[in-house]
Amino acid sequence: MGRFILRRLVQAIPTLIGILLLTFALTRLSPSDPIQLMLGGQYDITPEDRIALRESLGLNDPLPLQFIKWVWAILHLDFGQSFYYHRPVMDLIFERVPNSLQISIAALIVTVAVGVPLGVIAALRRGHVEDHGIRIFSVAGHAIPQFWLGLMFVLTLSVQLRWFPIGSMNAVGIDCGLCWDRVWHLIGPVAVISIAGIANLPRILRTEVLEVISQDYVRTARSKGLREQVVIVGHVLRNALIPVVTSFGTILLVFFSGALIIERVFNWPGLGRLTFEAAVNKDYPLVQAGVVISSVLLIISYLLRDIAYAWVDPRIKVR
Amino acid sequence: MRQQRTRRVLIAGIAAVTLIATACAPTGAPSTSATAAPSEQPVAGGRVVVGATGDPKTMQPVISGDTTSSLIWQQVYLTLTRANYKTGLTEPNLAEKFELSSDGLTLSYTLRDNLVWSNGDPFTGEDWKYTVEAVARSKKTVRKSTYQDIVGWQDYVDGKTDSVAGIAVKNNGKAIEVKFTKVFCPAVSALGAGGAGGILPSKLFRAQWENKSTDVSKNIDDIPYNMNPPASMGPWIFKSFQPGVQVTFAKNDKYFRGAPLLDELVVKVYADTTAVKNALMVGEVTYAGIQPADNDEVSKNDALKLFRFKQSSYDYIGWNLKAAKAPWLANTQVRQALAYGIDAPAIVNKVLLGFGSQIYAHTPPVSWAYDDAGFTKYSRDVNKAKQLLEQAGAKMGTDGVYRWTDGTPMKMRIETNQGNNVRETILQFAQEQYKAIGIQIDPLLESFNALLDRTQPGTDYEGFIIGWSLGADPDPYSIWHSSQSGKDQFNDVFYANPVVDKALVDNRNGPDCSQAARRKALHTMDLQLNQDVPYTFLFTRDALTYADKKLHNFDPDTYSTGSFWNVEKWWFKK
Repeated sequence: MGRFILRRLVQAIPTLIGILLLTFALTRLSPSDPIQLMLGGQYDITPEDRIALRESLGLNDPLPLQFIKWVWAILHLDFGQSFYYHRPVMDLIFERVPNSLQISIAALIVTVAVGVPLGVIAALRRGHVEDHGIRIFSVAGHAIPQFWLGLMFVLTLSVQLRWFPIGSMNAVGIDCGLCWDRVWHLIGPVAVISIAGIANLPRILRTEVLEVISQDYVRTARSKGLREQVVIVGHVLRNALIPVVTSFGTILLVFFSGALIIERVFNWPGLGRLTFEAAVNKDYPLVQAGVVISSVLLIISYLLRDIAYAWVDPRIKVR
Repeated sequence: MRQQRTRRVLIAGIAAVTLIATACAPTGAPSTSATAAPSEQPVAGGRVVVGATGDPKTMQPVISGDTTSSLIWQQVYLTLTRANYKTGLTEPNLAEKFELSSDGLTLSYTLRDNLVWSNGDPFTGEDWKYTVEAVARSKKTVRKSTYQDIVGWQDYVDGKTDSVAGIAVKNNGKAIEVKFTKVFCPAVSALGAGGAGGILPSKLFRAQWENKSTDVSKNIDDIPYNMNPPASMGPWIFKSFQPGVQVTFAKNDKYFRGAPLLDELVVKVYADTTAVKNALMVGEVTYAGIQPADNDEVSKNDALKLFRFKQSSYDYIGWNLKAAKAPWLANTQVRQALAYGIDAPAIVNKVLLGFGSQIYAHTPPVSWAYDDAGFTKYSRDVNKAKQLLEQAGAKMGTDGVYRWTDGTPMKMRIETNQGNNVRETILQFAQEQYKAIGIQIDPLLESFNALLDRTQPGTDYEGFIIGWSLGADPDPYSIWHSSQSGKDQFNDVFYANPVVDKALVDNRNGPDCSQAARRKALHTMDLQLNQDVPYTFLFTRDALTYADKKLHNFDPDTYSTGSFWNVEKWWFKK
């Protein structure tokens, strides 16, 4: 197991280098002058100061050297100063990561809690109205863009009907951590992000369950006189879930990309909104950090998926 | 100088610009004001929530250049004088008296008695001096031009002295005397309020940056207090900042106008103006400015009340007099034809739904310097426009487009910023209506930053639609003086008129700085602009602010930055 993890870690390195190169290139290839962006045209600065600033930021170095210096700084968790907020980028990021994790973790729990039973029901009730209903939901959940769903949620359930808050993490005047008020504010963004995941799960699970259910050992279990629930949960589901674990990669991707827009729609002060606003403000150090950190988080979650996969299906390690 | 390019009411990072509140922190005065009936006794307690789009970049005025930041620091750091919320004229604030000497070279302030910071320290002239010197040494400030004419300013900036020689604090800190190297009429407004920003508590700030020094490498730009105001002279005391969520203030019992009746002020951060409007609709924010297009929806909300007032801003189409591809723009008759060619009132009705009015020159109607005597009131007249074009030497081509004297078809670009519905609609109007007078327009939409870049004084642009947001004290020197067409300068239409140049200098440098003299100078300028029309002046907008009906004494107007001028008297009816 240890060697497997190590191998996966080593394999992640090229991906990481690719991401770093791309992020670096995108910002350096932008036609805007970083000094101009940093100063926002409003600072009282002499041409000499400008030259000194350019020098001190290392912008006169050759690009490969700039890249190496940048990566070296990142390895020390130093993404530089935000052009817009004039604060260390890592401080801004650390303020937001816990907020984003709240949405992601809650969405993951909801996705599994709702998606798995739906998949099982679809398989067990194949051809019945439940199966058709779940299939329609799956297709619709995939087809509807999250931002639209989010906007509709805010417009109808929050602004019109006032059942839910219009956004943010807590009501004005309440800051109680993970209390009921927070859960109340989480419902909107988590519901919208989960729908894409929930739409995904039953499709995979249904096929798997149908396959497993026709296996000999299931027939054996039934013939032993085991109760149907025990057969389904203990024998069918355990085996059917293996491919589901792989699909978590896709689900996590949906969470990360979705959070960018959903956090903005629901005014959630997370990493996604921070990155989005940084892009609008042309705050390149912050955009770079946001992209790199999200990517690293994604790589880590893929890694965890692989490890989980290896753990539930010992055959993987051998391959 | 207090003006800025506007996006909607927008900020284009420009030197020496003071901030004008955004839609979420509306400026302004009411068409009707919510004053308490005599039988209604004010009730203490409650919380006001205002919306902001984006986190504050700083909570300290010296380095502040954005609207959210100024919304924050103005609650705790006050100015010596301020603009009257209705008239824009300078009125006392922390200073009870201010006086410019007859030669215009000495400005004296007398502070109110018994002023104290929220932590109990006395407020003195040294606090003001400290703040001015912080500006001098800052590398991130936008306020240097406010003080550059003070005697000894440059020496202090360069580190040759450890104090600005032209500022004397007298009478136990109760009096301030400022000496200038030359007469600068806008100084009274600028030094006391306009370009100055709020005054810092020097006793506390000295621990993080010492002003009595010749070391120019040290400054106030990155000190911890910038994000954590340690004491307040304003109605509110800074309590907490939750990034991306809100900034919370508690009332300041030591506020010199009296402790606020309300307990708390919250500046809540929203993703955009639509989110602020939604928050207004559900009662999460107490008041907010809205766009005319949203008025129908918001006006149906029974819990809200409308305050409508004029803004000190305008939108226009600028014509580049040095455009390489449109040499006709240098001709006054052609520009007059362009002014006759467009239906500004129709634009006001279509894009502002009537919440605005046509203008004919630079000075906005709400300003104390406004005088429309003698203006030509342009209105759409196709025949007159064509007649003017022909007088200028243009000949109609077979395709319905005029040919200029050199035979080229009169075809040009008009550009504006994408995503701004108002400006995009103006562009559509211009395209259609100028076609009717035989001028073909190629529309060009780009980002706001690209628009600012492209209209850097040069020859590669013809027409552009943009706006100015102007401060209370009128000083349009940087917009219209013929010397102001260099890089990063604002006379990007290359307007040059000796009469206007002289009027601008008279308005600025007097020596007669009286209101009457300045009004006369500005009227001279406006009359010339009205005839020369280097811009097709379009309209000035009305601000629409909706507030919770239960909030009493709320009374916003044109110059009441953030509406807070009387915040200590606000209260909620139970």
